[in-house]
Amino acid sequence: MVVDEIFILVGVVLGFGGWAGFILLFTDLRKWVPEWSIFKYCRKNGVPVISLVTPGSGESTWLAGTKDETGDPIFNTGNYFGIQVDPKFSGEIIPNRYSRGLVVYNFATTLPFAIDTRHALAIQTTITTVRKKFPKLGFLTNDQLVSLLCTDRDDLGQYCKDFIEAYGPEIGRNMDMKSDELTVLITEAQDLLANTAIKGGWTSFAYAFKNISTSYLAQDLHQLQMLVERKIRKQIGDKMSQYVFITIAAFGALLVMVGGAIAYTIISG
Amino acid sequence: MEDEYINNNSIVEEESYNGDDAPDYDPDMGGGSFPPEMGGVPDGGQYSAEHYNYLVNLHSTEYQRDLMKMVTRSHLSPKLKRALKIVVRNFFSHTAFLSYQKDGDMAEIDLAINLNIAVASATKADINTPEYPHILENISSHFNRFIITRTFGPNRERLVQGRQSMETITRMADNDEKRQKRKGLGIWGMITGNTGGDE
Repeated sequence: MVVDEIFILVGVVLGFGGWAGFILLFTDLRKWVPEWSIFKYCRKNGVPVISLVTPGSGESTWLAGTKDETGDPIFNTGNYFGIQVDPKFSGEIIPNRYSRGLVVYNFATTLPFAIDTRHALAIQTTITTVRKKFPKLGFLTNDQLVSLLCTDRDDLGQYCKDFIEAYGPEIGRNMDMKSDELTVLITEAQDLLANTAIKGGWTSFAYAFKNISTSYLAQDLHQLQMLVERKIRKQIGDKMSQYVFITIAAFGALLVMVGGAIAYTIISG
Repeated sequence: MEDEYINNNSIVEEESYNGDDAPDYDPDMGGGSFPPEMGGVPDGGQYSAEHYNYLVNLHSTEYQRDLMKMVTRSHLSPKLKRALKIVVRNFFSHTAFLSYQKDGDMAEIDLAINLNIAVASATKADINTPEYPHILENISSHFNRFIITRTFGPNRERLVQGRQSMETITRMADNDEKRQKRKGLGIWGMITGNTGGDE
């Protein structure tokens, strides 16, 4: 029948069209939304998404916050070197929450701990406020400024003295600053920041991570973990070699006893 | 400039470079105020028995003083200075030198763990100073290459203290005595004319 042939032809065309559309959509999805499988997995399994930012370039990667075992304090980020500590263990972090239960934590490739938007804004506010209100501190880099601001008052005088001693000639070209003056300025900045509200607005996690004072890296924590593991493995290895020796000796003694018993049975029998 | 001498290692610390308000080493906080019987270094850094002074001199390293100076005079943050001083004092102490390191690897791992923890006190400004890697490398290389090699191995106590030769002489004397006992009445020696004294 003619009608049947047309129906078959239309069916075949529609089938091919459907597959072609599906393949086009799938390749598009893979090319332009490579994170779709991560979001799908995380939403489906109630796992957080890790936004891993590289502070130098600002480039970010999405990763599924899976763990080797339930209750592990660190995420298993596969090939990404370094350690990311689960914020449930490290402290109070407010994640970015999206629809249908998607939770995103902000990590960096350098720091083992997550930060949230409040922290990023606080760091931004700190630097912008000090730069605006204390132009005399302009000779300090962000790293140096944050390090000085984070120094305890008891240590501040000595640290400022070291700073002026180390960078004195360099500073001398721009301004004549004594260590006491630097101490006073940093103290005033600390007092001002203690009474300054965190400003809202846009922020950058890469910028925030870059200006966190601590230099303890995710890689350092990873190294620490490996060192402790190596130590334990070595201790267990030493114990194991002792046990193996004892087991072999006991087995040898057993063989001698059994052999002796058999020999005695044969001779006496 | 006020110099401070620590124990008999003569660790000179210059107050003007000191990162702390408190002195770098307070004998009251260490073993200085304990009598030697309790395992502490006596006040003034001298043991009453010459043997202990000899041991301490033998096992000490003059580099501890240099390291402490290097840390004190560096431009690192006071927190990191304190952390590094704790590591240096621990791993370069008399107890560490006198200890028997059964396993060199374990001692190296222990130092690596301690240095890794000390790094937690470092700021980004610290790690950007040229002194930071220099000091860390000096601590680890001196400990791993020069101290561990001295404190490692089953014979190191005897070798270091020069007791090997003394023990050999004592053992020879003991062996002679045993040999004499084995000879019994020495009848065979009397017959052959061999008294055994010059073997």
